[in-house]
Amino acid sequence: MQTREAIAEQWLGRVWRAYPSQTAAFLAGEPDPFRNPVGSTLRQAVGILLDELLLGMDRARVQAALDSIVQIRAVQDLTPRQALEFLFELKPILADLARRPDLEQLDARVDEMALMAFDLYVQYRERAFEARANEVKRRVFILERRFGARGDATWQERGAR
Amino acid sequence: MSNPNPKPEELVQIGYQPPSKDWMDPSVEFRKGTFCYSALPKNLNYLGLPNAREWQPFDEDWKLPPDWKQIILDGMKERLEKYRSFRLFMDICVRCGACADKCHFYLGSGDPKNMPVLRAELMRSIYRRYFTPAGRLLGPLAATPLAGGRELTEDVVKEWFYYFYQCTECRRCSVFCPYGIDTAEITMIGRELLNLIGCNINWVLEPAANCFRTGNHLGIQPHGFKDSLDFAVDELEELTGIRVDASINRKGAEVLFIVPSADYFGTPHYYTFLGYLALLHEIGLDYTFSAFASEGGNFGLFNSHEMIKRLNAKVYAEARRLGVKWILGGECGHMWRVLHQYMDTMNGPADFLEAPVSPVTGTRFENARSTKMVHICEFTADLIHEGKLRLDPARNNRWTVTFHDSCNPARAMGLLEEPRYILRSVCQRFHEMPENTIREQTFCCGSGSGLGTDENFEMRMRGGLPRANAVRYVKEKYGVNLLACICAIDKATLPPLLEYWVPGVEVAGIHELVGNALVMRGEKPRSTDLRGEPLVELEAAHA
Repeated sequence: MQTREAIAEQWLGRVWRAYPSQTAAFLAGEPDPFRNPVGSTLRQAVGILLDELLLGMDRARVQAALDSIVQIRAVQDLTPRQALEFLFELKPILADLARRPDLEQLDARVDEMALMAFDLYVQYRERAFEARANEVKRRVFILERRFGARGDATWQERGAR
Repeated sequence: MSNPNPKPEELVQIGYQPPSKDWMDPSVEFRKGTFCYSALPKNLNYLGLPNAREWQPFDEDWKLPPDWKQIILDGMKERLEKYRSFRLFMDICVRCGACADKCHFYLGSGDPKNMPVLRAELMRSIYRRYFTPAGRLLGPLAATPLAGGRELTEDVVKEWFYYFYQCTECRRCSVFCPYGIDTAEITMIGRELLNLIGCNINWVLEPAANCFRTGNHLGIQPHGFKDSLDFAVDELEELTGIRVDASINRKGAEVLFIVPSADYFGTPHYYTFLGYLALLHEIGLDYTFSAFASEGGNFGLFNSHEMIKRLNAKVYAEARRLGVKWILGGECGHMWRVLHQYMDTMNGPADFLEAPVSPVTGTRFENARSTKMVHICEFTADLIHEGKLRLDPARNNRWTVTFHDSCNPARAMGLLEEPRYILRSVCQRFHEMPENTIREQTFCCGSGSGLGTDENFEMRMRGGLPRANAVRYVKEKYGVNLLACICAIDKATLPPLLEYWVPGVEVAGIHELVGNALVMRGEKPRSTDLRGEPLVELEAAHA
């Protein structure tokens, strides 16, 4: 368990360091989830990912935790590489702290998480562009309906949402 | 790439320490999705603003006028003399940090220059260099981190543009400032100064130019306004069986009713508009719209004080021309900041109007005796309080509702209880978001102050995260599926925000829910709500 705590601490430290130093201290320190949505989401999700990595690798839990992280990082000021870097940052920590016989399996699990995260990243980028397109449709919804451009179908029926 | 076939371990060689950049370094990167495009020359020309030209923020050359630096410094000097608040805000900040973690953009983006104290520092550093005795004495020597001053360079202009058109002027930070510094006003001055050299955004100036020409943001002319209204009257008749009379430019009406124009062409705003029409018909209010004051919103607020005044003038002018007694205003955010805090000073006194009295309840709106303009939530809450409306809240049973305090009605006019009182009367399931995300502490939608444009989408998602995060909490805890609000910008920008962060939660105005619940005399049995969606639960209950 000590090893788990040590890994968690080091990993979180590296996650925070992706942000400017003034921000990292706040993200790491403020416990209120409403005052600090990014920090508390990352902290919670990193804990879940680590548990699953070391224990059962429950796909649903891993998916949910990755989802909450990637949803945030897909719209932050990060390149795709920077957005998903946090998973790869785990590898050198594991290499230092995990027992040798486990390392190969852990490595494979990190890779699997990375692939899941890649799917999620693309999903959230797509969702952002869909939401952006739907917003434009909504803006002039009534004008378009008045002039009959959309026929009888509502924008919901036409797949706007 | 020096090595075309790197080994896996080389691929994951990652630098963990981001380059430490001094905050005084003004360089910013204009990455698409995180800023607004420049204003079109035609809009600047229409409004008579300087330096109309083709340019974009990501261009290297912003085509500033040759004497841009002097223009900015002169503009700053003029405003320091004209607005005592501005000088005070430049001088008194002690950098206590109370505001630092209160900005939604800081919380969502992690960019330190979004800490309100640092955003203001972008301007204070110029103030220190050019306007304080020490700065003037030391000259360029004052432009050091130690002295806290900076030289005014083109990079500083670009940095101002990036951050002052990122702040949504929501004023959440000002709630926490022990000195009462209103950082939104610093942003407003920053934008005024940028406007002097033609650095402005189209999403602000196009609505402003349209407003100046036709009275509303989309540039709809009077006949178009009438068409819109007729369309809504027809639809309301289909839904309720009642034909309401919505008159335009009718002289001698008791009340002039002004709404944000999005109410009659955007969705979900439109359903709120139907709600107004139903309500005002039911109580028999003698009111009229104006085809010229066909917009309550005022994008001048995001441009300059002069522009606020120019665009706002139509409100009292139309009230005078039509000979009404007082003015009623619809659900809008920044519109109410202007009406509540600026209109009386800029275009008043409206001594040709009377202090507003509800003809239905006799209530005298003392709070509006000077501006003569009442918020429709105050008006409706009074009607409900006096028992003048027959309401069937079960008609809103498909919704479990929470309320987003729109920044301006909440923080700029203290309208906190009335919307909640109405919501509790017109729907059966209402749950508040956590305390530190509502009322005076409400989190902005992330798209106010003219930044709700789609090219700025990513930045808006960052800024809206704290709000969406609280919505997600009540969705998971109580099954909330509707976010009610009283701002036209919210209604336009919260749907995409929630589509990204909390799918499954929709957005509605308060008066849409009022219109659903309102039992109108002579109405046909309602089978749908104002959106045309079936009243499923009600039917089930009756069966």
